[in-house]
Amino acid sequence: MGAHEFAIRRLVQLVPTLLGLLVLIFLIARVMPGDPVRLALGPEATAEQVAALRNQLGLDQPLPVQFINYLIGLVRGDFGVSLRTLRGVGSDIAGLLPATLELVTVSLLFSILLGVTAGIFSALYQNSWVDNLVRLTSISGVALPRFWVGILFQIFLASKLGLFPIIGRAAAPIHGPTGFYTLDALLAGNLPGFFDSLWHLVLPALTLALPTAAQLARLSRASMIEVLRQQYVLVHRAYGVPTSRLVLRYALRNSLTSVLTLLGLSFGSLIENAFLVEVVFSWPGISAYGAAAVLAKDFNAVVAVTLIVGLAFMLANLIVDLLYGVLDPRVRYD
Amino acid sequence: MRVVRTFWLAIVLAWVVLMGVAQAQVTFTYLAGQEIPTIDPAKHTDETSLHGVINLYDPLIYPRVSQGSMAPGPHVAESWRVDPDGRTYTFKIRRGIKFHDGTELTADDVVFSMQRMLALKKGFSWLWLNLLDPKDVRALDRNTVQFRLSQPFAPFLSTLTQLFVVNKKLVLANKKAGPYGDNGDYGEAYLTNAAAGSGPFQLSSYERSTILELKRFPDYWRGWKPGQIERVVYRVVKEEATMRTLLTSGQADMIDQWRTPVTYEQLAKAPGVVVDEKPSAQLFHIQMNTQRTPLNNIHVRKAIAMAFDYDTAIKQIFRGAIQARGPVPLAAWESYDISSKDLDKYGIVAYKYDLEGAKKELQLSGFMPGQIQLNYVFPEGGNLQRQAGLLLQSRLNQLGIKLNLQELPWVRIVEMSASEASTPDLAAIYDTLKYPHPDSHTYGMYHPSAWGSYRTISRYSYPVVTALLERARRATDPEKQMELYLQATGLVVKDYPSIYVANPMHRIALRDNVKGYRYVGLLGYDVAFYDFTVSR
Repeated sequence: MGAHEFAIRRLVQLVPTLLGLLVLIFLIARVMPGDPVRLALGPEATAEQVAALRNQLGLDQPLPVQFINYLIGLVRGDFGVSLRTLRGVGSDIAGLLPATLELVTVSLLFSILLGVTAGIFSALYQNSWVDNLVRLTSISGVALPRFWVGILFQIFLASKLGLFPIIGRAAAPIHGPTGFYTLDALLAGNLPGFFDSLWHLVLPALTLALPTAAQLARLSRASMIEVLRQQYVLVHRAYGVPTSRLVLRYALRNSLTSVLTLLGLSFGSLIENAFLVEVVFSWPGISAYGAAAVLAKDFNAVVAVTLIVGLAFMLANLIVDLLYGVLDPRVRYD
Repeated sequence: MRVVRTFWLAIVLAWVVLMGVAQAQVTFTYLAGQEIPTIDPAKHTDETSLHGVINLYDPLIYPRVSQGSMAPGPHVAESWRVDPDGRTYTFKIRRGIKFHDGTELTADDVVFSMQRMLALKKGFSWLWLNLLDPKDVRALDRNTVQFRLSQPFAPFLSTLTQLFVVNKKLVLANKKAGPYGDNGDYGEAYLTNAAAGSGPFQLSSYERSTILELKRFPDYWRGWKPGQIERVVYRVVKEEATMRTLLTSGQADMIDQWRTPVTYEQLAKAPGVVVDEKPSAQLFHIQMNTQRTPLNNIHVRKAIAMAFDYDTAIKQIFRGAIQARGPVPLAAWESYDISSKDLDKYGIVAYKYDLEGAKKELQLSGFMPGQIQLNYVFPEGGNLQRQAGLLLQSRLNQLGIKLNLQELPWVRIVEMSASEASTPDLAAIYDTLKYPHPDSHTYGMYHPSAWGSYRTISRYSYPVVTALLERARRATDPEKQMELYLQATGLVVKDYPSIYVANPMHRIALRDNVKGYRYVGLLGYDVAFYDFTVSR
């Protein structure tokens, strides 16, 4: 089976998986205790007000009817109305998703850059002080809570030293087709805007990246040590191939398979874990929106955010599966 | 050479002038811990939305904040008349008020604003839904509005602090198809992200989860003085540590009132930061279900109230709060010139901790130690309510009364309060004034018609009190009205339907160069940016 055929088959398989996820989360969101309509309108709302909103949102209908209506809406791209914002969930998410995706993408880049580099050096200088430092730092990176690291960054790097802004995405909103401030600024030729949004991105992205970078460092160190022990590496060494070339050209590529698996899983979990970072840095993203939706029992928003995170997980894993073949031609798609 | 020198001199001068202009523009940054759900004046209920609305719109009636009172005062309505039947209110609308688009505010706009509230049935509309029919709100002429209520309602004037006037012409010009006949959607979609007010500030940008930016409305009818704020950045920052960092570093001017007492204690010690502290118009009490055995026995209720250790609660749990004297927060009485002596006269006193007295009351009740078991519910995450419950539990143990603490989602408590069968035995509730009038915490809590709400878990009913409250609502003479509310409250206090614990402190942290902040107990009205001046 070719890569194209494999990709199409996997994309088709996404549909029943997403449908299963939808049924599950739709039911869970609706059986959560407490009346979300009353929560939305506040405790002073009269019974008449509650009944009017329940009717307006179709929540006075039986559950199967609600599900079918939701499904029909979904096919049309309508995620329903948010009980918390009283606006379309679709438009809420459209405004927030780019911010999270931009944050997560830059975090992932930071993770790869920091984690894989540290892993390689750690493996090359095994049992030296470099290795010990990387191992110690990576344990701390996994163990320290993200929100706490974020607050420390804010206090020392932003407030005390004034190197970075404390909160926000940019000094002024940047409007454009992608919703990614950095990209939109570049597309508009707005260089100050690009640097400003990049400057705002550093601390939140770094905070979010650290645990993933730490995991990547540990994993790439182990993979690299294993690869460096392979006979073909020893042969290349014997032929006098320089270490840098040996690592970058041969060993790195072969050690990346397990790293790639972790990256695939990390993308989805970064969206999920972005919540605390978004809260600390007042980053207007979908993760904080999803968390607020759960607290407010805003079930349409909960369902939509879960579907999006689920879809991100599935797509990231599909891309990883396809990349296995690029890294290792022996891999067969079936 | 001279040309070059002149050129550089011009550059330096221009820079100085520009910097001067930049410095002169007073920008104020406020940090709120929760989102700003709406800026539509027919939908707001929470504090952050109210902040948006208060600064973008003008209410018909404004509390007398400058006099340190929450009693109603003139604003858009410059004067009013109440007919002897207590049902007809006629308001003279101030001339010369302009909306942000330059059109003049008239009686028609006031009528439209109230009818819009009644039609949408959202926000504070519950205050008037059972009281006003849309057709009974009329413009008598360009500057006169008349409201005819279905029944007398003494606090009506006070409730009008929540009626904000929208620009009818602008709203209807932007209406979309909707269920309200000729009015379409009543501008609901338009006012989601736009404003149509006459308030001191115009909308620059609004993103509910992050920011609200306002700029000064130059033609505001109250005029402007030097030092007043020109631009407001109202930011949503959910992390308390981030808020602290922004305030102490001078990147914010004020943070909201919802931080922990410890945070305010720390902030008060930070250079350049002051913490404003005042007793709030809020009541923390533990309601007792007076309809259920054994709490339908006054001696049991009195025993429980006497077994509560008020001093410990005030000092260690509510840190600096003042002890409540009955259901109405002291700030509300004070706004109507009712002093402590007046309260004493009517028997509105603070309950006292007396364990021996409690034991005697329990003997009088006929119940033996070990016979009584009660449930105490409190909202999820309510640490102070939990601590108050544990304190009560420990003292009731000494009386032989078993108290089971139950933490429930807030919505569940509201649902339980709806029917008599599910109403809990005891419930720890924070209750803020719903409108700036003692009626909120008397009629709203102790008239049987109000049963079914989290505010009436005590399900209190005493015909004498009921009659007094009804007479109070009908009374048109303010003095007589207050006397009736005082009499009713005194009787309620003697009946122990609740353990009245505290009027907690309202705290807010701000930079020391901000002047004009004043809290009178009414939610939201303390953050009217028009009142602030800042020296940079």
